[in-house]
Amino acid sequence: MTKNRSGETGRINRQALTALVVLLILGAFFVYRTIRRLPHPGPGPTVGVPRGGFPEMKDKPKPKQVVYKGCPPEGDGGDPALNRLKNRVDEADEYFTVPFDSLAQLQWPKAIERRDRDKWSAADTEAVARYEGLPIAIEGYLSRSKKEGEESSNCHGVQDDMVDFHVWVTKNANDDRSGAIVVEVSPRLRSKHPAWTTDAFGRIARNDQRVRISGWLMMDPEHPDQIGKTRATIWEIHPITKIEVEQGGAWATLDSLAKL
Amino acid sequence: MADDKAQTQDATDAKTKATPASDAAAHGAELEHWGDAPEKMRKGIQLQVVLHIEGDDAPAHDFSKSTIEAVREIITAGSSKHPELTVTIKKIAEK
Repeated sequence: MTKNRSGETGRINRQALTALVVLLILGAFFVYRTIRRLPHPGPGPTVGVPRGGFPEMKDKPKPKQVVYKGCPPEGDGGDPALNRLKNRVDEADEYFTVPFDSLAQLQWPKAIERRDRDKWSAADTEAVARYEGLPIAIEGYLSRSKKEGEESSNCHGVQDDMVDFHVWVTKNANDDRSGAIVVEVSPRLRSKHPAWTTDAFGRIARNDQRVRISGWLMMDPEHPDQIGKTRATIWEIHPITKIEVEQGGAWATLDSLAKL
Repeated sequence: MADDKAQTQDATDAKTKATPASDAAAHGAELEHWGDAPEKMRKGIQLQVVLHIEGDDAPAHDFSKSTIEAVREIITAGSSKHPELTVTIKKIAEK
């Protein structure tokens, strides 16, 4: 009788132990799953705050490069790595619309300013790489556009078909450029979009039409002196791959509007 | 044997002559080409040059004005050595 009772107690103990192990495994699984779902803390205090609206992409699309009118993707001098980014010609399958303020306030490591990429530290390179190359879109209003001069990315060409257009996008119509985000049209992509002219941009700006600009997020470390004057950030959408204009509550590409 | 030596020398020359430009050209050969590549294209560049000039001058004489004029003449005279370039002086000013 005592033996039976002790056997029963042993069985109950084994069942309790098994239940405890199962509970511990389940608990560990839920803790692991919860941690995985939490937002990542970012690489450090120098970059990544805020993270709002930016997609997490481990494998970003590899830039497609072409030789444009004899000019290689790395240009003819300057920072070849930067030029290759400026000269990518691929379009993304999907663009993630990022809140204007998130991009305007996205930070960067100060040590990279005015420095070629081969001189960046590994930590700074990693911090920038977390965001750079994301296919994003922002919505806002065109403030101004300007045909730029010669640049190493475009082999220092001076003709119209070899220069960038700088376009300033503001959050609200008629906002000052000090809070603008600079987005750039490269001559390579402009050759595929004849409707992307400074005249067209001027018309859109004058009419206060809302736009959605899509392209590749890129860090241009060359103009930190302009922050608070003609731009809010040195993060750019560069190059632009799609321009849409709001028409009656829907988005229409600038290319399609030009055909009307 | 002599041929082998010549080939080795050729290979060495090719290696020595490899430049970033030739590397880029080799890289470019694998890429898609958009538009016709002209033999030459019109280029432009803005260069910032910092000069330090010393010379003997009268104490009250305007050294800034005279050196700026001198540099303008030096550049104008020197640019004739490169007729293929159009040099325009945009600004010369004391730092």
